[in-house]
Amino acid sequence: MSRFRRVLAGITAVGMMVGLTLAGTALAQDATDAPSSSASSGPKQFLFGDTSEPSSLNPMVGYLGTDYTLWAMTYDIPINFKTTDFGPDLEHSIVTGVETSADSTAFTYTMRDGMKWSDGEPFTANDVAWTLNYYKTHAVSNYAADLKLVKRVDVTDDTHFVIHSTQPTSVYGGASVFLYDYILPEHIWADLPEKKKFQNVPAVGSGPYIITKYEKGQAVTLERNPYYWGLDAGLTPTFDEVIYQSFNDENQEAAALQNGEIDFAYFDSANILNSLKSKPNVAVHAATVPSFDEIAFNTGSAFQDNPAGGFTPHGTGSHAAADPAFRRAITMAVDKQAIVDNVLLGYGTPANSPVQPDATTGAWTPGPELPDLSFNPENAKAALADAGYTDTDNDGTVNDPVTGENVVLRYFTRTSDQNSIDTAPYVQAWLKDVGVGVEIKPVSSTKLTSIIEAGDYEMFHWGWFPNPDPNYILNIFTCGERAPDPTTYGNNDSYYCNADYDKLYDTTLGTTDPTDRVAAVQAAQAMLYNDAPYLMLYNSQVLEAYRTDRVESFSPQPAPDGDLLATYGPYSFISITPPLGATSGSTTSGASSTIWILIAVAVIAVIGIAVLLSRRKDADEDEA
Amino acid sequence: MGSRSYLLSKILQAFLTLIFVLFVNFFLFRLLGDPATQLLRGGSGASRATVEQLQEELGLDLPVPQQFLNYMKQTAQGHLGYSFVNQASVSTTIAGKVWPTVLLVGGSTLASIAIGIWIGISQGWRRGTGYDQGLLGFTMFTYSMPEFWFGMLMIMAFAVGVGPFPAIFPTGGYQTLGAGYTGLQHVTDVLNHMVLPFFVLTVAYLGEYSLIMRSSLLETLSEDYIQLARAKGLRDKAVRKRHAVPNALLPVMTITILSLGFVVSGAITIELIFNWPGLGLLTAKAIQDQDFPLLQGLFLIFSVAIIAANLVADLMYSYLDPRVRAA
Repeated sequence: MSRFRRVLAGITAVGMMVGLTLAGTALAQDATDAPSSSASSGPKQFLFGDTSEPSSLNPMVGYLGTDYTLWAMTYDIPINFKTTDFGPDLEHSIVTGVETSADSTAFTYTMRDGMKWSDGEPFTANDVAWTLNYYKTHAVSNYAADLKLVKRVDVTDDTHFVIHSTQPTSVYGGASVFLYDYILPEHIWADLPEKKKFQNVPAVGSGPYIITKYEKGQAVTLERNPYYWGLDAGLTPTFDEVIYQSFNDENQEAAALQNGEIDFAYFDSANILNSLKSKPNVAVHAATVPSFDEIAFNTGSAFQDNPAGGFTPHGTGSHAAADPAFRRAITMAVDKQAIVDNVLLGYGTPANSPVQPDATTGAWTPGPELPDLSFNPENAKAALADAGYTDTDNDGTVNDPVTGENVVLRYFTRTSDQNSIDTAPYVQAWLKDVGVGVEIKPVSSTKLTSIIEAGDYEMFHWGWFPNPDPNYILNIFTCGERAPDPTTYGNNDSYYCNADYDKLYDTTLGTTDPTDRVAAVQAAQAMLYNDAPYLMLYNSQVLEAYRTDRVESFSPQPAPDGDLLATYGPYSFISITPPLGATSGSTTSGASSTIWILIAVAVIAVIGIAVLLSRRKDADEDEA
Repeated sequence: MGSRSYLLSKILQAFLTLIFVLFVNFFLFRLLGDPATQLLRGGSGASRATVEQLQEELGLDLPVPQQFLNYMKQTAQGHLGYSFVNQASVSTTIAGKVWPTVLLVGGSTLASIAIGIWIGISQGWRRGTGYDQGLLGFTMFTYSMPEFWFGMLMIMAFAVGVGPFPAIFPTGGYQTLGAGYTGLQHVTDVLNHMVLPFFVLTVAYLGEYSLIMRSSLLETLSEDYIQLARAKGLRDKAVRKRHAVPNALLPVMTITILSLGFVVSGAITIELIFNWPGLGLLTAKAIQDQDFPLLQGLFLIFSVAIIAANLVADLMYSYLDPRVRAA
């Protein structure tokens, strides 16, 4: 036997011996770790997915719906929403009662006694006061609207804190859930030098589950909190771990659901949801939630004056988009029902107002005193003509009465939102029918934010997922929320600025009677409808699917058709259970360690033997 | 030119290229506007005071030549900046994705090279036969097909299970979430997750190497020294092994080493389809998020890898072919 063949034979033999030894080890390990059929081993896990990466797990920085879903499990707001509707649930909150002073400027909150944070430290009124005072003094954007009338928060003892308001109001009286502000542990956050850079993993919280691990681009893991105050209030979660998996592609997410790798999934695509309807052990659901999509106009960032100071006119928006009569005419040219039918495939309803029908102040519809802005191209053309927009040069496009130029609007869509991309050609065609030109420009969300700050647009398509209380969404239309210069962010992305509206908004906060507040909110809605800074498109439903063999007992909010899982609180994550006899983990077994090693051993053996035989044949031929 | 001076000249060339890349890397992202404003999530969420504070913190208020020198010094020390989007240092963000990228893309590239070269040799040696034509058609098809489409088919067939195809592999990801595997179980769990994307990438790219190998071998077979070798009485196998293939491998070697240089840039479409946490997907997300410090760091890493691969290719080529050194 030649030297080469001896070496090769040796390598093949050693490779096979090592492989078989490893296989034996793996076989023993697999046998030890194999789950028994009679008892569950390992933590009970619930996995849910979406194509949304958290923007930040820091409650002072993040802003996406996904972030709020994770915070809702880890932290508490002072008063939770009921699961059946959006009313206050003092029975299942850290606050058990609120007393209002005679002049409606001081609100004493009573907290549960004996609560602890997930690290065992006491959770007291000091934590609430520190958190709210910090949010207020540092104008943390997520919570600024809620704390607008807060002067300061004092502590009287471990279970009582007092909110002092700058003026009489009813909003802090506990009649509705107004403070949507996550309470943080003072002993963790107070001494952090740069709070906005704090990753907050692992977190210290008070909710039923605590964020313990975050692999960016992959998953966020939450583990059950043994110190959760809700355990004493009948709120006992079943699962030991909740894992949120972020996907890049909804097709892969749907495959993972079918494969059993996740138990619950959110989708944007109605087509994908429809494709899951016939799959075994999969149920689909379209949830009614308080979210909406709109086409926002630039109502005049380049032309507005500066009534309150701190605003510099900027941008290149057109005169037409700044004209409310023009905006009302455009609204009449758009068929919202057709968008719901063709883009959302029926999963939604046309919208009229940024305050949702199931908001805490109730549903609102335009009254007879308001113009009829329903879809009617002929009315749209007449309204344009009445406002002075006529085709003076007979080229098919109306002309701006101020500049004389053709009215062509820059219309931005977002590349991450397929619905916005699909809606745009419809809108372009309808506007062309009434003589208004449109240039569609798809950009990323980050890029669009820069464009909005710069004021270089006429229209864009985006959406909001506002709180059930209308305060947050009404606040964004105030003059003070506009981006003050081209490089600074502002929530008021339509640059709507109306002194009468600002007064009306202040009234919604300043009433001491909740009934008066409802009337003020509805008056604000009417003003927004008439001025049309937003062309309200639709209230889309949240599309979700889940494995019926893995999870049941959801707590939709609001009942019965609301979101099954990511509600305005942790209740669903607490109430869900696996059906009897359910197993967790993927339904595909995959190749175990033993099989992999045996495959490798077989490959080594085959290659080694084949080469040996081949070289033996060569040697024979050469010797012939 | 002697070997030593050839080596030195190639190293010097690579070094100068690196300096040029650093220069471009520094100024390219400054063409996009004020870096401080760009850093703060594409210009949003910040007041003018915050932007000015950040400019001072990052030394952006210094003269540009001073900023460039600081940048070179920090890069040499491995500090690639801070990613405000990921809220972590750029080095840490990139480091976490290097191993999954090298494992998947590096492994599948090596497999594509090995299998592709073997196919190319066997094709070239049997040129004109049905075997050659069949494999030619197959490799051209696999090389031209969209790999993400092939990936989605593999997911449907072997992860979800369609018709006769069994669902035996995960749909994606790097490992089973929440399982907490360690040691050998972790290794095999990762292998499980890697099977489908590895297979897709290998099949999608083996055509590149087989076509080049085949073409190079056909060219070599027409050389006079091959005819001489046959005339001397050497058997076909000896002619192939000792004369044809070694010479035909030379151009293929350059392509393969350059391909290995591209490994770190990942495979964006496959990483996206299979949710594999690689550098390709990281780059795409950095572009989407306008995460300029991270893009700057990635651009630098990719450039360094290509420069290094190019240098290795030059040196290896000169070692294998003395004519290059003598030129």
